[in-house]
Amino acid sequence: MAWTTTRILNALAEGPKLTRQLMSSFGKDRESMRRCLGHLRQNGFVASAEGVHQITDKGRQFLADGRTITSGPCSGNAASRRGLSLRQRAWRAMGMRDGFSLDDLLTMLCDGSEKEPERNLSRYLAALEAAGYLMRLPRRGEGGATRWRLRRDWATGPEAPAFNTQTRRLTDCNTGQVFKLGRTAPEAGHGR
Amino acid sequence: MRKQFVKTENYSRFTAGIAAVEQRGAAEAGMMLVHGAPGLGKSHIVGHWAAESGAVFLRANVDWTPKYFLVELAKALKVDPSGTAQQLFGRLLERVVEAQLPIVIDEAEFTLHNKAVALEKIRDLSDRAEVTVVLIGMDRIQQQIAKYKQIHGRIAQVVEFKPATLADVAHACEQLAEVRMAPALMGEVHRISGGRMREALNVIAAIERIARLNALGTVDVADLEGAPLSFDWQSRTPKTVRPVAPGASRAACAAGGR
Repeated sequence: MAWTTTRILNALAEGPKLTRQLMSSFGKDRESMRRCLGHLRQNGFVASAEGVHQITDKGRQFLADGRTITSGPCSGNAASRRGLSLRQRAWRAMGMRDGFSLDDLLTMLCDGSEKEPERNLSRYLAALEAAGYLMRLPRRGEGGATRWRLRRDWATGPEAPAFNTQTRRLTDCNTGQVFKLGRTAPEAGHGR
Repeated sequence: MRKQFVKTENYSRFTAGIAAVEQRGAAEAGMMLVHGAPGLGKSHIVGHWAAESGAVFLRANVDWTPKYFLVELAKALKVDPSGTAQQLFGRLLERVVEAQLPIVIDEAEFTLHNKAVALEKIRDLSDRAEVTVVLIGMDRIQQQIAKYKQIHGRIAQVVEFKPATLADVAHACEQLAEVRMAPALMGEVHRISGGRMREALNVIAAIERIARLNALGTVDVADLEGAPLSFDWQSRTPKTVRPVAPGASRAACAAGGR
């Protein structure tokens, strides 16, 4: 959300906007936009009245300082995110391909510098499937490997959903939606 | 076998081409053409780069029109796809200028139908938003695009994908194989795969299986002589490891082609 919130603040720096204008510009539903704007108001960066939102002096100063909005500490429950992580690259690759297996992602993305990439992506794919982002394909890949497809209406934006393995919470950083996944979700292995 | 991306000579040429296009001046052409025979890893290599750079990756369809392209791009960029083509183009232009994300069009032959009107729209967007566009196509796409002078003139770099070299295959063997392979056997992997990297990976996997079964730490041609490592679907014959000719040095064998 933090990334989108900064973009919203930048958009408001160009002039006041209606909620629906922001929803259209950022491809967000009303609930997500309400949450983003609420966060900006809470920080004193935006003032809202009758569905019109305007940047405050504090918000302008914040942008002028070249700072970005971050989620802040949240008792260790933050969904783990890094700039160009393996999961972020995998999320992008999923959007490019009609169908893919774990091996497809590994051979496309890994250069040997990643720590336990197979286990990492396997957990991530299982979480995405459990949350409904991925559809398991009936036809298997080489060696009987399980294949998936990213449901196109679930490709919610450029930011990869973040999965916190400890709390088993998957946070869609594009919409702000949080999925609480059960402990029983299996890791996405090759299914051989 | 390790599951990793292998940086081949095609990858090096592609990234050098991208660097040249990205460093261009504002007024210079911003399109790049990647072409080559099927199976040489065009989509795989460009996909690797797109996943790192965050480029928008679209696959053209046989029935692509300018509007169809715009709607697909709008969906990828999460821009409202409704309205006329003109309204949509305006919205997309703003978004693309703002994001400055490169755009990749796979199967770019499909943009050439109907006097290349879809490609003309892509060129227009690339020119006005000053973003890099990478077109991926088969061998003959360069000649086909050359018929449209205005589009051809906007292509700043052309990268032809070629079969993997012996050095590429040897590099793949060293990086991916979990058994040690002698140089002569790497030459055989290159010969059997015909320089197609996907095929080379299958051959490496087959060698690993045989090495594991026979508890071999290092594998050479002599260990696999006559073993079928792949299958030629055209001649319907297995592709087997050939013995090293008497008197021929290992190095000469490794450097040999088919």
